[in-house]
Amino acid sequence: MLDKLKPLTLGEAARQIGIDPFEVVRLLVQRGEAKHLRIPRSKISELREFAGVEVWWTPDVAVVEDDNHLRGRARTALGMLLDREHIGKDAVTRVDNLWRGLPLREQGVLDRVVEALAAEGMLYLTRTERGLQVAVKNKNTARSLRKAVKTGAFAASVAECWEQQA
Amino acid sequence: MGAGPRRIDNAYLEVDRWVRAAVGNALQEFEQLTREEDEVRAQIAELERKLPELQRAQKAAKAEARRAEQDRARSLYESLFDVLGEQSRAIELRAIAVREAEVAGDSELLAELVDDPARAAALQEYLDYKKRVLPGLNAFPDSYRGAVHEHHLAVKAELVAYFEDREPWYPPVRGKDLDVDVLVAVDVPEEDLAVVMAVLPISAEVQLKWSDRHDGLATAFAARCVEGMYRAAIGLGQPEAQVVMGGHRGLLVAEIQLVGDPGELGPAVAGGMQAAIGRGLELQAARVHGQVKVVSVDDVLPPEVFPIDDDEEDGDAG
Repeated sequence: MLDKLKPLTLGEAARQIGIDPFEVVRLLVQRGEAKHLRIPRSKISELREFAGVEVWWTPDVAVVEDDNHLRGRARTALGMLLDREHIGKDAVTRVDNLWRGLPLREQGVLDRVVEALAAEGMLYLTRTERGLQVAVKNKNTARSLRKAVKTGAFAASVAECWEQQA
Repeated sequence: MGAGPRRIDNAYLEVDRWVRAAVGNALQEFEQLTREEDEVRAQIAELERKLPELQRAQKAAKAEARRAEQDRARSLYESLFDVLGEQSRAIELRAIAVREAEVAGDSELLAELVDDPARAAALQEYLDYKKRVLPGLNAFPDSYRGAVHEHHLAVKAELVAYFEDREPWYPPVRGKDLDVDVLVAVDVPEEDLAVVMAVLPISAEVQLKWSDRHDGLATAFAARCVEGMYRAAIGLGQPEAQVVMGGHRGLLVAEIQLVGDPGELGPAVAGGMQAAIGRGLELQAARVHGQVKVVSVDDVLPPEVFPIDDDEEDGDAG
């Protein structure tokens, strides 16, 4: 009866922030606010900012046209990473910012693409207390990645990520 | 013929006699030894005949021991997951009671507003909106609808602020205490790198299908466990460690990768979880008590993950 007036449950807060409920728990622990598992609505934007959560896949995103839908998703996401200048280890962003809002299957493909590009030495991945963070490794790799995003020509290990799903 | 010195012929005869006697004795001994050798060979042949039989029996005994070990491992593994499965169902049942208590608690909150007529009126207005106001709104112009909706949002915001200012309250559940277990085990894939895993008495769907579920008591229990894992990681100076969750045999498993002595990491994480479960006000109100136990990793992983290697066993025996 009063559910919509009372502070949010973990699941409700997770939906509003755009992360998993147990990631919300992590944020509460780090902020020393885990006494209650109810989160005031007024805290949601603060928590989102604290976590570094951003929504990149908005309706006005300029999606890269590609014969292969999943490769198009990867090119678009990596293009946004470059456009936002997440280049170098001091300019990291939450890795899930790359796919937040996409269907689960596409999120999984982008997750593997990031892993493959990190293995190829193109992306820098680091675990932090606010979750896994990513950036393009440096300016040189940014140039190579920009070219790959433009042409759609990626290393075989990266291409496997969308070819396996086709 | 008188006695005289011995003759050469006699010397030959005596020596020949002595030699014959010595040869005879030696031959007798040789025959005796040959008989003994034959007996020993017969015994060896008999033992060699028995050897493969003994080896077969030995192997069968070893196999039986292995089977018993594997049976124990499998029985224990299945039994632990069965017990936790039963506990997860008990928590789901208790969650219904918690929900009922929350609804009853809402009524008590409303009753408290009797002394605050303005807020009681605002609440009544809010509750009436969907039921009575909204259905009739279509008959009015957009501008009127917009003004009514805006007013409704303002009333809601006022009520939300009121409830946020109050300390959350967890209506106590009537009934018996519910005792459940959490198993913590440490796997060591590399030296100085440990994966501390916790098997919770919670359905895996709580995490895997969280976006489709109402998060109630089961989510709260899992959240307290995760809170404890993160607190332990921070205490160990590893705040970047990430809890990863998944399902195994329908139950929720949370894992965290940590660096350090595995013998110390397991108890540290278990301690953090125990404290967080104990502090959970919503669990106290639900009368749910969790006991965190550190167990061997062999007990919570399927026996096929750690098969007993026949060659290794034979090698050890040899």
